[in-house]
Amino acid sequence: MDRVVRFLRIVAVLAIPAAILFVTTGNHVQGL
Amino acid sequence: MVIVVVVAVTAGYLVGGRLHRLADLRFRGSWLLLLAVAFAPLGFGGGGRAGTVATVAAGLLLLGFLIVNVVAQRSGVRAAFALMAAGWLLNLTVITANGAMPTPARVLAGPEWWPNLWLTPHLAEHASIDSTTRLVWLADSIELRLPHILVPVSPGDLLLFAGVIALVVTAMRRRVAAEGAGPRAVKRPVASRQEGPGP
Repeated sequence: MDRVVRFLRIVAVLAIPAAILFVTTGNHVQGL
Repeated sequence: MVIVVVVAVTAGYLVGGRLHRLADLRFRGSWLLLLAVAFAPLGFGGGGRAGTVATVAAGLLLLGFLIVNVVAQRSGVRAAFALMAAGWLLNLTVITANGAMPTPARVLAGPEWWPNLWLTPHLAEHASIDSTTRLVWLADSIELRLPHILVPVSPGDLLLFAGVIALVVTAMRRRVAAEGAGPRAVKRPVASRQEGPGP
C-alpha cells in the first residue's frame, strides 16, 4: 500500500510540470 | 511537454538522481494550478475578448501558483520555480499584448506535425508575426530545427523548459545532496571535539 502511494506521488510530481507546460507553451510544430 | 519531462527524468538519472525521490517533493497552492488548467482550454481555444479574459485569468492563477512555490520552497526547487515564473511572465506578457502568441507566418502556413497534439498541445491561439506585432522578441521567433520538424519557441518557453528540467533534476537528486553533506558535517565537529581537550 505504501509503495502504491509513493508511486502515485511520483506520477503526480511528474504530472505537475507537464500541466505547467500544458498551460504555458503550445508550439506550432511544423513537419518538414 | 512530454519530451521535456522525459529529458528531465533522463538528465536526473545521468547526474545520479533517483525517480523515487520525487515522491518526497511537496508543492504549495496546487489548487491554483488545478484552476489554471481548468481555465486554460476555455481561453486559448476561444479567442475574442472572453477568450483573452480566460487566458489572462488562467495565466494569473498559474503565475500565483509559481510565485507561492518560489516563496515556499528552498534552494534548487525555489530556483526552478523562479525560472518557470519568469518564463511564464514573458509568455503571458506577449500573449496579452497581442491577443495570441505571435509566430512566424511561414511556420503557421505549413502542415502541423501530427504528434504535436499530445507532445506539445496547440492550446495557445497563434497569430502571424507582422508589422503590427508588439514585443516580437518575446514571441515564438526562435526557430529550432530538429530532424523532420521545425519548432518555433519563445524566450519564455526556453526558461519554462529549463525550469521544469531543473525542478525534476533537483527533486531526483535532493536526497543525494543531503546524504553527501551529512557525514562530512558530522565528522568534522566530532574530530575537533576529540582534538580540542587533548592538548
